[in-house]
Amino acid sequence: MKENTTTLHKPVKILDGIVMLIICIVICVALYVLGITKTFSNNTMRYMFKIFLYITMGTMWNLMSGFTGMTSLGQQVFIGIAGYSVAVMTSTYKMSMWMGLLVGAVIAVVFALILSFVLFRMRGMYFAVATWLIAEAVRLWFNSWAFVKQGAGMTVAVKQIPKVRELYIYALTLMIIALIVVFALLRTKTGLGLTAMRDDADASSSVGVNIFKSKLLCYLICSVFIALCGGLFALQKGSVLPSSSFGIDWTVAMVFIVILGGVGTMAGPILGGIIYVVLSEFLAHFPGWSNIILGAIAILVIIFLPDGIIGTLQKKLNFEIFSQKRLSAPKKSLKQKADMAA
Amino acid sequence: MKTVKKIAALLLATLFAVTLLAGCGEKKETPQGSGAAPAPSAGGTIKIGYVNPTTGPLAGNGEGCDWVVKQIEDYVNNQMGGIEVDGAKKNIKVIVYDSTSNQQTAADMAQKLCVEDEVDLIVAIQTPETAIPVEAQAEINEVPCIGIQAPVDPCAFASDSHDWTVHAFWTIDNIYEAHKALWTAAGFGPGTGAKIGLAFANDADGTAWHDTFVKKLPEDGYTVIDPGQYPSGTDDFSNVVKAFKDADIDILAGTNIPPDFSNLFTQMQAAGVQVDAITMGKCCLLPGDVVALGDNVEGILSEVWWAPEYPYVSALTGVDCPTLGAAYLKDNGGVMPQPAGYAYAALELAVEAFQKAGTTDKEAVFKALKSLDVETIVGPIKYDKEMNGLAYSDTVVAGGQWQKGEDGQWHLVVIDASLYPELSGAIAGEYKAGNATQK
Repeated sequence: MKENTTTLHKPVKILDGIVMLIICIVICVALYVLGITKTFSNNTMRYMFKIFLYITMGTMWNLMSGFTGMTSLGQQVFIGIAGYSVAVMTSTYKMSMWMGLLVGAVIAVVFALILSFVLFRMRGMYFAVATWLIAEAVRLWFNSWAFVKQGAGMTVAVKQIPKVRELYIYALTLMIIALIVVFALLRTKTGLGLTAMRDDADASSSVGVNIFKSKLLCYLICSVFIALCGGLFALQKGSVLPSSSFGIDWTVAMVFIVILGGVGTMAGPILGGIIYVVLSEFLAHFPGWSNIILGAIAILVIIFLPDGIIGTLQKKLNFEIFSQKRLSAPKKSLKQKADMAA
Repeated sequence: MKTVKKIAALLLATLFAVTLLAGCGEKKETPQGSGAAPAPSAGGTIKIGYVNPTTGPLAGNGEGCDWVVKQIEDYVNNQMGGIEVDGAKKNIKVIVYDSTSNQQTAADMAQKLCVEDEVDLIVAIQTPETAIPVEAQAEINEVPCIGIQAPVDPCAFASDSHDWTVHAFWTIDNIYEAHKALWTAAGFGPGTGAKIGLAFANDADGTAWHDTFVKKLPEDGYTVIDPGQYPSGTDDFSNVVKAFKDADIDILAGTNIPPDFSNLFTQMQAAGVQVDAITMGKCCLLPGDVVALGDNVEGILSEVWWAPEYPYVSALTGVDCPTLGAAYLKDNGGVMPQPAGYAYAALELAVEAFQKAGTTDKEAVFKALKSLDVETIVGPIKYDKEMNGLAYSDTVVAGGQWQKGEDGQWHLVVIDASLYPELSGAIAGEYKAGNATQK
């Protein structure tokens, strides 16, 4: 653990040293071992499967909105595309689920690439609304497309559906890769460019940040990971329908997770994902009230904890987990600077 | 030293969290996909899962669920003293979750019932929107499933696997015949060349109806006016209304969720489209669903698959339809909805299956379920037919019309029972032209 000494205010502890690395490795290994050795029950793994995927989706939405400033309301389009890819490949073409996941990810990337030329001409609210409209347009298209059985939806071939333990392992692996990719990306020059772009696109462009390239990289990464989440969800649910696969509920869940955990923090979506899944499962016992309660919680968090739970804790306790900040000057030199300033 | 302490503390915390998670459930292998053999229930109760559209556009179909669950639970647990399975008397517990009328949520809740609650049997009921995802989860998790109150065809062709599901309801062929009988009652029998405008959404239900109607109508000498299917939830029916107006249709036929029909009907009236008869499935079954139409509901024709006037007696509880209907009326202040009758039948079948199996072993329960031959509150059930690998039982259907009763309220009165003459005792009126059906 080290202290970020770039500020003269209270030093911020950045928890991303060797200790955190060891903890993360231990947690990941433990999760694999507990899953593989059947220590976790199927029920626990069902929860964990959802938690892993919602963390992945929350992390990706956070990368776009929290770190890059591209607030998308249409990420469900990739979930739908991948879900349908899995259903079509397994049911229509009788191929393996891996082929379904691969095709879903490839189509998502190609689709994101095509969309980027239109979407990246917009910023802020316009970008958000455009992504939503595109997702709705795709939903309507799928709703009328005879090849995918229109509004009747499709089912994934039952024989292709993996056991809950296998799904757990796939979801865990996907989440770990997603977290590593996002962490690594944010620590690179491109990552700094992304946050600079979020803070001021024009200024960052003037100092050499390639806006289009940076946005594209971020958008493509998000599309692939969210598509893979969509594919795994389709395998778990066993059926896909235009109204639910392309429903805005998916993005609403991502937004909820990030707001609850903390926008622009690495740990925020992790905590948010856990809380969201546990809460939504618990609220299933209160028919008709679940959405009202979830909405009320989101409003209360926005009012009283605008930085989210992790964001607020970080501010109050002066620490940051896996911060994007890097040590830019040794403690000594700062002291020297302070002396000089005095 | 300080760092070592921190590492130790964090590792301990991690271990604690992992231990907590490990303790979240039993170490039981419930299959997802294929592989492990299903195990019998270990608890002291027999658990029956039930996904109900309590809220959302299909809430009318889910009406009465809680009351029905209470009736069956009370009867089995208090009057029967439980069901004898695996050498002991066990009570039943019906666990109900809300699908919010959303297929994705229905799948989630069904999975929750199978994996978390570890139900011994699951009920897939209340329209294909709820039944199909629940049946899919039953197949994935290898849990015996009673599919009911959703047309057989869309459920049969929704999946390639029906190893754990049986189904009971009418087929689209039968419902076509029921609607044809209603058109005949309205003066538009086969061969009259009447122009029938079709209004079907492109969901599983609508597609199954649409395909059969488009095929059979010309065979019976009707003229089909098919403006094409539309996505469920559409609020702009301009093209459909225009097609109907241009063709000057005589009859409007379809099946829709209540908001879709309400929108379509309102827009038809605004455009001055008048018809001689309307037969509409799904959305015109309950007073709550047609209240938005006001007095325009008068004369609308719909299918009646269950009514308190039907002649059946539950083999399990000994209750007949009028007695059950009267009890519902007393407790809830309204006529017992048709879907509630099927909810009662579904739970009857569940109890019968456990009684016959004498165990909660899932394979034995499914085998017992599939071989049932019993009379329920909705009529006799015997799974002796098959469609796309799905074992199913036909259930009865009659024709009804919305008419104003002496109490000033709207009632779906049975006017035709030509398809199942045993229901003729339920006929309480004859066809009358009404506000909705006069050109």
